[in-house]
Amino acid sequence: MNSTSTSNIISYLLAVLTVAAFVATVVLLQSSSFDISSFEPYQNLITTGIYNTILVSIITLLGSLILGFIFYLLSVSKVKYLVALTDVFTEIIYGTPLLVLIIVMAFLIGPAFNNYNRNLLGITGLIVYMTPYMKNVYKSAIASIGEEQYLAMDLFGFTSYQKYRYIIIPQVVRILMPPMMNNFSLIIKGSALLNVLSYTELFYAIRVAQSKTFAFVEGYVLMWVLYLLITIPLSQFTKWIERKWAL
Amino acid sequence: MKKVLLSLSVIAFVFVLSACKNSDDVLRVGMDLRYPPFETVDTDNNPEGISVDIALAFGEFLGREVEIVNTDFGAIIPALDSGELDIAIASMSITEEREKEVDFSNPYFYFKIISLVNADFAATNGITEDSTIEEILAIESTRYVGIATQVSVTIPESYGKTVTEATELSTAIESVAQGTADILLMSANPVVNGYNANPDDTIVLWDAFVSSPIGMAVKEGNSELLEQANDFIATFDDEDGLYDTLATDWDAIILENLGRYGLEFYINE
Repeated sequence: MNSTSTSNIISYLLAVLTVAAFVATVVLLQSSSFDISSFEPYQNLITTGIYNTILVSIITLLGSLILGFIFYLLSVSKVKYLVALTDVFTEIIYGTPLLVLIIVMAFLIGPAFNNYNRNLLGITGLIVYMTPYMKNVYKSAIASIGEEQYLAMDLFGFTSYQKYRYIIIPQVVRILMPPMMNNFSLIIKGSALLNVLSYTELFYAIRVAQSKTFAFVEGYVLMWVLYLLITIPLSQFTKWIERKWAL
Repeated sequence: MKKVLLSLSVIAFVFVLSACKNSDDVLRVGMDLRYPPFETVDTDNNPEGISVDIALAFGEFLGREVEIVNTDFGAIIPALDSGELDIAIASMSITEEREKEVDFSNPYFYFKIISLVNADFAATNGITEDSTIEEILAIESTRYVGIATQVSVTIPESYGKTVTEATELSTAIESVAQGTADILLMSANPVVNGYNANPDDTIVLWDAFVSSPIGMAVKEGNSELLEQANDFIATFDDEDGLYDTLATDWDAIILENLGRYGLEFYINE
């Protein structure tokens, strides 16, 4: 334990305390009494909500990673039409609010194909929304491996396996991780919008509990804390991965 | 080309995976499970409430299995149109605008639309629990708040008032409690619940703006199911009919909620 890391830890502790003090002030300044215990009977419901939020986020992450990669391949295709297609799609998605996309998916596109599975359509909407963002993550990561590296690999007579195992994948993953995890945080927060389809994710679960307890302020604070409990460990894990892969 | 096929097959797969046809024997009943005690869930997220009981009794009446489909209130009519739902039993007021979109059964309840009023506003303007709606309407520059897609918006507008639209009950009630709005019109339960959550900042005004007839809704032209619904509603009044059953099960809970009335509050016009 050297002095810099000690002062680092102290700085962080102070920072967390500052935020906690601010939150406590806001809570204490509420005009009505603040009591979170009214949500106790709804533990199961809220647990289901947390579970579903994590589940949907992971499905969306995997789905958009796959679809994003397909889109990346299309965007560097030799066929002009495919490149144009990904461009048009990207422009449309960038200008579309996620909420609108989810509603359009569930109430227009789905029923047009005789599909009424609202939850699945909502998740599909989330995946489609994240696809262009993921495409860009691949684009920047793969662009970072320069021409001269490929030349060098050829010069040393690397096999394909060796190229990927020792040169390409370690670099790409290192560059891919941070923006991908940013996107994952976006997905987790975005999944809250599935509540408009009455899907029991965290946001919806808290709202149902609120409709019974009418403790709105407490409910939103609880919701906030629970989202942070999901997202903060995740970003810390990302930082740890980055350090681990650091050259 | 391979990649195009690949991407197309992914999309096709997603659609095939989820293309589930609604089977005919199951009656799909839509409601928004966020309005206790009519449409709500128990602590394990199973549907319960007065409307749920009505839906199950309707299924028994028809000899069909019932599936309660939890649908955001604003999305119920679109879901009826798209064929996702067979019928809505969702405490839906029969209004002219909605009549253009769906077909309503005969009314089976009457919801009195009462008001949640900010306490400071009430004190300033001499409004009490027993004031009349004429007194409220006479006050100039009252800030109304309502919930989009619900009668809480359309009723004040019919009196020529401007209404701020909130998207949810929670934010609407919160804005009355915090004084960023003066008055919210809703059916009795949400109003009283809102008051119970903010007893120092709000009052309930019991004089009803309207007694809003509540009906079941089906897709326009679904006359077969509508007729069945009307036959079913005609049995509510019978000796030991549904009104009696519901009163037995729910009177105490409604009384506890409202503090003034039991189920009869919703049956009498």
